[in-house]
Amino acid sequence: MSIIKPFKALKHLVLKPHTIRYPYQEHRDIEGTELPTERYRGFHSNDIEKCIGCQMCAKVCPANAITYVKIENAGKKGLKWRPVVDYGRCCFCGFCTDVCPTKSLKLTPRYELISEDIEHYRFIPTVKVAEKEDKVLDIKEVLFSPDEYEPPAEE
Amino acid sequence: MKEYELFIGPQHVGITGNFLVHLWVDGDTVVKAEAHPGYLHRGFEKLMERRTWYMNVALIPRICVPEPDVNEAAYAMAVESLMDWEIPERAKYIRTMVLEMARIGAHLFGLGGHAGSLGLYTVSHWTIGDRDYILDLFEQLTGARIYHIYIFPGGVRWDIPDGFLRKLEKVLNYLERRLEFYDNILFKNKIVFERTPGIGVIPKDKAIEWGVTGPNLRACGYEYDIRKLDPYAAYPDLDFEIPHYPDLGEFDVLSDGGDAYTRLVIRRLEIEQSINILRQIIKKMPSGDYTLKRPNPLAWKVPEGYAYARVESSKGEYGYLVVSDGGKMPYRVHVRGPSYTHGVNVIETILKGANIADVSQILFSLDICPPDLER
Repeated sequence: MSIIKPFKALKHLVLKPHTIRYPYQEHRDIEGTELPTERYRGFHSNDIEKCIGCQMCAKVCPANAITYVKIENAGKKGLKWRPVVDYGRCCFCGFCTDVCPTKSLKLTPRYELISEDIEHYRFIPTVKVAEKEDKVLDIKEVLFSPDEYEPPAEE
Repeated sequence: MKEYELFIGPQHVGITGNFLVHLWVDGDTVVKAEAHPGYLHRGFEKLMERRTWYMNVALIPRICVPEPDVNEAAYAMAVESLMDWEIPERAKYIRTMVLEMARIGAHLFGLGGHAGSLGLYTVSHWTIGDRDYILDLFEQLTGARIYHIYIFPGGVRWDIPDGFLRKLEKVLNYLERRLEFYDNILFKNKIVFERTPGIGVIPKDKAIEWGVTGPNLRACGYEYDIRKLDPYAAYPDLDFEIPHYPDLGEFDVLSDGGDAYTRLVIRRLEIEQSINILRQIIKKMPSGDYTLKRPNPLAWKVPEGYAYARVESSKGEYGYLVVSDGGKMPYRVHVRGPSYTHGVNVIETILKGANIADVSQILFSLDICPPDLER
């Protein structure tokens, strides 16, 4: 046991800390690439003009998070079926994007959404989510408000 | 002398998760211990019977939180053997890479937890900070930090992104440098010398009978590893060693094996071996397809029969028995998790006669994972 050895620990006083002050500081990996990258599985974005309303995503969803509603402004005339995602159930597995035949449904690297209202976590994803540069989603920016879509038709 | 009762868990810093150990104590010594799992039971095996073969891939990583990839790999291997598929060489290497990265992550977590139970919190801060570099890599490779949902029957989900192997090499170099820091703060620390040897001993002659596997069995003196005995993925092509008692390399043998100290050292040595394996994978990574053509997820039927696949996780032998009746969903899936034997039978036996202060150390040294224990 050396007497000097314990003092070697003093060098840790000048080492850089691991901790990052998120969200003030960006999260980067070992090479300095900003995270999350494009492959990250965050909120959905759906190009509702490209979407054909085939309901494959609702069938493959393991958490039953996707339901369909008829909406007015889907880029085409009349009421069209478009997916609604319930983020209380969604597990971000991305199977819905794997089966999407038109590849209109995508997962984006956006993952922050803050709201006190539980209804805000159930929305029709639009393509605006993918275009946003800011990570934090604002409810009014990205969502169809509940008034904008018709309730599901009776079966 | 009157005994009194003591409860460790389900909310306790000295327990590895939501799990309860009920102790009967005489003075400072444990007289009797009872494991009470049940706080995390989610019924995965039953849930899988109600989901298609494809959807189950999203469900199973949740069975073991610190190391979810072994579940995906074992399930994929079982389904592949039912389908009679031979997966591409590149997929095998990517799988091995993911499994070894997960092993390093889980061992860093385990080392940090064990050190924390001894009061050496600096180590746990360091290991969890270093594990984050591996999670960053996972995030770029698989799209998620913890539940990767990456290894699919037939291969893997996506190809490796550009520059990934270069980043992996950098992280490995960094981790190798950090191992020296761990050796200094943990393995040259008097607290570890004084407190860990001879604690929580699993007798060598009982270990097999009790169903102990993985690093805990290797600490008892058996050279037992599924990666060597029943090689899967790309392990037959790779050159690596199985650290086991009494070959502890540069570390001193301080006990007769099977105790908390040996288990700690074995985990530390396995990180070194995993780094070595990952370096070989970076060199040998073949080109080609990363997956077979995956069937339609909604209409995929698996032929009738049953298959058992097993992998070596950081905690022990992990196995999946998958039974198919030829339908779209599994007829029955049974999961053999290593923590079940370690977390119920073994701790109830070896906690007898232990000191109260050592109870949490013994639990951490066995690396019990309550989500896997209860499923």
